[in-house]
Amino acid sequence: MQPVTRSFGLLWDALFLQRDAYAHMRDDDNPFVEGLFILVLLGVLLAVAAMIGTTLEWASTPNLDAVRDVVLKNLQTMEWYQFLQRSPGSESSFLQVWNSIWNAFAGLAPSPLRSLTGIITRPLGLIVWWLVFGLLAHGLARVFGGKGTLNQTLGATALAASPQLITLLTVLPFVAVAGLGTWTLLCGYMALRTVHDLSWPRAVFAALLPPLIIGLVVALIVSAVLVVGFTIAMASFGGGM
Amino acid sequence: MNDMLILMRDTALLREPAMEAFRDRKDAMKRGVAILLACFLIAGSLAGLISLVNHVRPFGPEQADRIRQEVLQGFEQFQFYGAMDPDAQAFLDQFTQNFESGLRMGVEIASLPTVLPKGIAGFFTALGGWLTTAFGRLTAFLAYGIWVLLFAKLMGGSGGVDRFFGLTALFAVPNLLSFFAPIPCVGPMIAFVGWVWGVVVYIKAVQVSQRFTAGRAAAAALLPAAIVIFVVAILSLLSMIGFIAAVSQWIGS
Repeated sequence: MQPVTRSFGLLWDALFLQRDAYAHMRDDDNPFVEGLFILVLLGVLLAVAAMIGTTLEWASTPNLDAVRDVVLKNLQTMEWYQFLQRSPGSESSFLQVWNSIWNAFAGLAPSPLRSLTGIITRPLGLIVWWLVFGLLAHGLARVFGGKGTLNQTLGATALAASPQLITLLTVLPFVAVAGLGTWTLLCGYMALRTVHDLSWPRAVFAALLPPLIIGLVVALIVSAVLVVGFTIAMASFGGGM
Repeated sequence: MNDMLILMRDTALLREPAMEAFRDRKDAMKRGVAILLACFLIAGSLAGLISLVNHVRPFGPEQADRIRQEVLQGFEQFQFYGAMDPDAQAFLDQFTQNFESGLRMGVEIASLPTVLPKGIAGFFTALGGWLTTAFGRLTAFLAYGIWVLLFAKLMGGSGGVDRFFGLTALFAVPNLLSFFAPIPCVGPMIAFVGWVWGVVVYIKAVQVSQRFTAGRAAAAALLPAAIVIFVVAILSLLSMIGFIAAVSQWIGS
């Protein structure tokens, strides 16, 4: 139990940018393993909290199919819908679009079963983000004259996930926590400054550039997928014509 | 607890020695964020209570009737200013018909069964809204603060990051006045006074945390907002020019 409480103590102090927490990780005998342990623990706890919150939210909201039927029934009494019914084929096209929109909505509706997958995806997501951010930030910190080792950087940057502690509030339904990026950035800055002993402008760049690089790469990949998808759709549309 | 209350009082009165003593505390950010959250939770409690009553009370035909009457009254006032042209009247009739359907829809959806009793579901919705608002203000405070800190550092400020956020979080103390915001007429005015007072506390906190003069502190605290306003104004102007150009081209063709 002691390692668990100690890990949460570190995350709590890191959340409030206490240099001691980051220095503790830097000076640990194996910062990488300690960081990994903290992230797995945090990820599992967040997933359990989200599972409870999602279940309560699901139990507090009416069935989505019933809502869909009520909305459709009322739409059908409106004048524009009756006008639509007079035009041949329009109603079936409308219902096709209508159903696809509701099916997309169904994916966003609270589902206790789907939230179970968070037990694996949440810690995994935190670890992937940590490794990518940590490696990029370490490389940049070294370029800017940092003195820390990769092991130390990874240990300290694991604490940059500490703002995720706030999302434990999602154990209560209908609570939305957004905008933790700034806080994560501040924690990352603090970690790099502590490990690499950088001046503040250099630490700012070393902490800020990795998310920008990751964002740029993701945007490029998404754009490429969209362009390819659009090209294929246009080609098949052209072929069909 | 007593220390916290004394600090809150001294901060609201802009007492520099109290703020300096707080700046030099190791746990300044922890305490500052705790005070900020407490203030925003208290400030939002009256609105939260009203929301709780609205959510726990079932949305039935009586409530729908009340909303209908309020909206129709608004339309009548609109019509009072003069006769409407037939197109506008037809639009208004169509809108009223759709609005009636929307209300019927709302009543029917509210009466659909849920696993948990309606009262508990309503309680959770109100609680969620109350907490989301307070934590949203905390993250907005951090997002704005990071820019203020950057400007302060560029102007030669010398305070630590945690001390800066700890001290500036005290701007939430005068914002306790926004507790009265839901009161009709005077409420928003009282909340506005609290907001202005909060801005003054924020500038003072920047001054103390960065060991600045008042002028530099005001510049660092207000520059990010001024830049955002300037950029938004320029973008709005450009989009308006673009819109006018597009419309005049369309009319011309």
